[in-house]
Amino acid sequence: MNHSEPELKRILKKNDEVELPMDEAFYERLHDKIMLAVDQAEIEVPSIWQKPRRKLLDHWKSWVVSGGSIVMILIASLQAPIAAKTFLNDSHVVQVVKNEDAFNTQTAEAPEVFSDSLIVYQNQSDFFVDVAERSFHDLSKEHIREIMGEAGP
Amino acid sequence: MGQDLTTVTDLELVEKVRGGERKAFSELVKRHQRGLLRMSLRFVKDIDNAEDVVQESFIKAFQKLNSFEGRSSFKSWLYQITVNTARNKLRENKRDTTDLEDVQLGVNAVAESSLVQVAVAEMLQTEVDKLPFKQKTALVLRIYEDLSFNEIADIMGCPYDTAKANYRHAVMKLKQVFEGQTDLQNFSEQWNGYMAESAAIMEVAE
Repeated sequence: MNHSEPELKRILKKNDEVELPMDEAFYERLHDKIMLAVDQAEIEVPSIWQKPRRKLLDHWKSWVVSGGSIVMILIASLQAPIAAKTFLNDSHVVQVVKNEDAFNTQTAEAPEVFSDSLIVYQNQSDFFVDVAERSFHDLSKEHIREIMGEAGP
Repeated sequence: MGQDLTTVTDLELVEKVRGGERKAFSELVKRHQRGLLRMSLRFVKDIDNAEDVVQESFIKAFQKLNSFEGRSSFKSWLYQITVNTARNKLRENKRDTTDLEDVQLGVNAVAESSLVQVAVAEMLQTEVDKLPFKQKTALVLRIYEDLSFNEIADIMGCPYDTAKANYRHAVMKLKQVFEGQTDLQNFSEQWNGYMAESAAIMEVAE
C-alpha cells in the first residue's frame, strides 16, 4: 500500500497523545522554577583541552576514513593474486573436463578420428604395452597356465 | 534603558548570557520551554517528569554554554541536551514502560471515529513507544516537531543519512503495524455492512 505513509503520519498527528497545559500560569511557574535553579548555577569554564581535543578529533576523523580506505585497498591487493591463482587452477580443471567431454563426443561421432588420435598421442610405453598385448594373444594355453602357476609339475 | 530581548536572536542572547546578563537566559527559557516540554512529554509520558527534564536541560545548557560553538542552531543544541536528558530519565525510571492504559488519545479527535480506528491509533502509539530510542527520536522530531533531517541530525549528533535511516526504519515498522490493522479495519467495515444489509433483509421479510 503506497499511500500508507502519509496516512500513517496523518493518524499519528491526529491522535497526538501529548496535551500541553494551556494555562499561562503553568509556564510562568516553570520559567521561575528554572531561573531559580539557573541563578544558583554557574557557567562552566571550558577545559583548555576542549578546542584542541575537538580539532584533533576532527583531524583524525578524516585520517581514520582515508586510512581505513587505504587498508582496505592493501588487503584487496594482497588477496588478489591468491584469488587469481585459485581461479586459474579452477579454470584449468574446468578446461580438462571440457576437453574430455569434447573428445568423448567426437569419438562417438567418428571412431576413425579416435584411432588417429591414439596413434598421434601414443608414446614409448604405449608401444611396449601394445607389443606385450600382442604377445599375450599369441601365447599357448599351456604357457599361460605355466605363467599363472596353474600348470602341474 | 534595557534592550527589548524579544527581538534579539538566540545567538545574540547566548552572547549576552556569556557576558554575564542572566536576564537574557530568561528570554531563552521563555522561547523554548514549551517546545522542550512537548518533546519531553513524548518520551517520559508524565508531566512532572517532563518538567524535571526541561528544568535539568536548561540548567545543563546554562552550565555548558561555553561549549556551544554555534555549529548548529541554539535550538538544535538545546533539543540535543533535552533528548539526552530524557533518555537518562527513562533509564532511571525503569518502570517507565507504557501500558495501554497510559495511552491518552485526543478524545475530541477520535470521538466520532469507530472503535476500530481508536484501536488502530492506540496500537500505533504503543508501537511508537516500543521503537528503539534513536528511531523514536527521529520519528518524533520529524512528525511532531516538523524538523528537517539536517536539524534532526544535529540534535541526534549523527550524520544526515543516519538520521534519515532511523526515521525510515521507524516508519517502516509502523507501516507494517498500520497495514495489518488496516486489514482489520477493512474487515470490520465489511462486517458492519453485511450486518446492516442482513438487518434490512430481515425487516423486509417481517
